[in-house]
Amino acid sequence: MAQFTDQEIIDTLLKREKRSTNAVVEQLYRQNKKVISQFVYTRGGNEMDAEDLFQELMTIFLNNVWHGQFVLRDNVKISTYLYGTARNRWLKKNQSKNSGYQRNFKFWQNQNNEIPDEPDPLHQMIEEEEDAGSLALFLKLDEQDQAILRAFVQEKLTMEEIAEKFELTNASAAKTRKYRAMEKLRKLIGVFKTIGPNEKTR
Amino acid sequence: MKRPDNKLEEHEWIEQYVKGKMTSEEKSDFENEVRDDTELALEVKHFQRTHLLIEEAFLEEGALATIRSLQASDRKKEKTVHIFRYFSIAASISILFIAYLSLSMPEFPDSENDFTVVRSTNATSMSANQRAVFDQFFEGQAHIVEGQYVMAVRNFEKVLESDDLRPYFREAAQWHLIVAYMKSGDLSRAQKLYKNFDNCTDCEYQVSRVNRWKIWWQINLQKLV
Repeated sequence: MAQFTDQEIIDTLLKREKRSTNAVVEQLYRQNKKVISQFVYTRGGNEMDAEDLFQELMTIFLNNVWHGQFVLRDNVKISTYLYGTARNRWLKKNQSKNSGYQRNFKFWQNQNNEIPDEPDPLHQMIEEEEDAGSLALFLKLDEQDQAILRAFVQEKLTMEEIAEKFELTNASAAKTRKYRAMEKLRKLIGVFKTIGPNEKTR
Repeated sequence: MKRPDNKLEEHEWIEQYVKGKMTSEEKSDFENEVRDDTELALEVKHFQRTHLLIEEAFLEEGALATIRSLQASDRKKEKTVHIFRYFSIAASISILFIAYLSLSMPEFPDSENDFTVVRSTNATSMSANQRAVFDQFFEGQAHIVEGQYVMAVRNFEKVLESDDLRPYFREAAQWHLIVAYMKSGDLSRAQKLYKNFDNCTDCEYQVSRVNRWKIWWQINLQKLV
């Protein structure tokens, strides 16, 4: 399998194509899985924790690339960003569980000079990882709305086909349902998101 | 197409523009409207953003499915590796144990210089007959150690001809004779004699379970070979 460079990874993700996105995700998984898992194991986590963390990492990374919150810089590899984000995420998750661990973690960070007093761009990007993912927002819609939008965008059904599938009276009723679903999603975006520099305009 | 006057129709109107379904004339009219109306321009931007988010949500869903599938496949692989590792360890232990049973010599409780092995024996005044039995026993043991099993068979058979043996000493001689038979290739006699101790509940000469296994295994292995 051909390997994407970091720049190619970003360019590919910004194209927002299903097949190439999955290829990138697969490469990132294979390249970073071992390091992330090792990190989790050495901090008392298990295989399931490592798997969950990796899924969260991918969600954060994809959304940050799409929404311009991750920018490729010189001397900053994607794998470094992922590792930093994993560590940050793990720390936040375990903050309430174990405050002593947090103290140790900070001590360990200072010992290793891993976070300097003045945060560098990488650490700023890592700190800014908290962004509601697109899927998380979409899943806030009720199931019927999700299903209608899925039929329209993913399955590319016509309004007549949607009306038939969801047992609506006619295409006009399907249009109204789709419009309402889009409006609900638009309101959710307004609540949770701001439009970033990587937003694609057509 | 003129700008619709209700929200639903306006939504469709924007959608037609965004999806490139307008004629060049309609497109030009639409763009003129957008230029003159900042509210409409914002509506278009919101529509694009919402539509983009839906596409991203599906892409994210697909990416997560890919990761989950890779993780499931890795779990399966790791499980197979673990099973293989445990199986290899178990197989190695089994092979070592079988090798131990097959190759090591059965060991019996020490009876060296035990003058009481012969009934009514007084260590200070031993009869010639008793002395002979006693000598035959230890000579037989020496022959086993030296690998002269046929000679050892003869020694232990002579020991067992005596009818004045203590039960402990008789059993000791029988166990040694089993080994001598087995090592000299007389497997049927070895097996027959071994069977005497199969259900032995009041045996005095205690041979450990592992040594019993060794004898049983070596007899059966030789028969098989």
